[in-house]
Amino acid sequence: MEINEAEFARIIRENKGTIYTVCYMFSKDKEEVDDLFQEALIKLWQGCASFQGKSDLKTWIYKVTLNSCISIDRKKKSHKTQPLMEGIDLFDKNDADNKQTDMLHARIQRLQPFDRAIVLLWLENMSYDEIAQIVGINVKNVSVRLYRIKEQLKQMN
Amino acid sequence: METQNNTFNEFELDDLRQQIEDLKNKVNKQGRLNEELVKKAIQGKMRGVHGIILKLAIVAIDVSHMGDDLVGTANKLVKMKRNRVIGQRIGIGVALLWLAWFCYEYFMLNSVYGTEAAWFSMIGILVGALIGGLIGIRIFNKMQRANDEMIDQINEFTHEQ
Repeated sequence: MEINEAEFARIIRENKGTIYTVCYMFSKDKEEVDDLFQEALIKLWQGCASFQGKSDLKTWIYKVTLNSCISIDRKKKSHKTQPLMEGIDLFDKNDADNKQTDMLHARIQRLQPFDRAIVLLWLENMSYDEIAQIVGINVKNVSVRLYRIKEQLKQMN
Repeated sequence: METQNNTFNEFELDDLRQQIEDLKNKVNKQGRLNEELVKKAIQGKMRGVHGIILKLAIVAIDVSHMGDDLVGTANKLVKMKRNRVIGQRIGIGVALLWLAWFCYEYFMLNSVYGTEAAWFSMIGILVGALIGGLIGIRIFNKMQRANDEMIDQINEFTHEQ
């Protein structure tokens, strides 16, 4: 799909909440979330050409962002990235609004990376078919994993 | 009692959906996307020359699995880990051969000034090589460990499928 820079910026603007939230769930601090967000945007831009519109745009964005978060080698990161998203720091302990977010983050972070991806897709109300397609496992496996993840989440209470 | 607890927990799980939605809304409302920096990032100019080199390296790896599912991507990372092991073994072999040749040449050239001085220099070289080797192995093991969590999950998935 041919997408110019302006069109790409519009897509990112409309989906920044989703992309940033996924990056946040795979990060331990503000620097890491900024790094992941930048890498995800680069991959989305690189992947525009291969996106042929066969799947839903949102599904594709999830797939590329999760791929980016799972495959990035965090040890190579320099933590010198200029933040592409301004005006928000979900790790700011002084922000009272962040308390609920903090608890949610702590729960999701305790899951293994693939389980984290599965639960995020489930929370996004995606069907088992879509989750199976993004993760690369069969539908039955998705339901088994989700059952176990839910049990794990319950234990965390 | 157990049913009550479970019902409460199920309710809480559904509540997570709302929390994620609230979080996305918060990011959408408060977060301002710096579009100038986004343009620079996608043009690969953000981190200067080193950034471009780094990014080219990242892109060269990533474009190949852009459309893959998560397990497919992780499988490629596992292959990368295996290749790293092969590369390390070859590297250590070549380094040892080179070190042996270097020590031999060094010793032959410098022994004309006295074998004692040559031996002292050799010990210095070997200690340096040993420290370098140990640091290299430590970095290598750290890189390998980073992939282990993912490999464990892939094995779990493969067993279940």
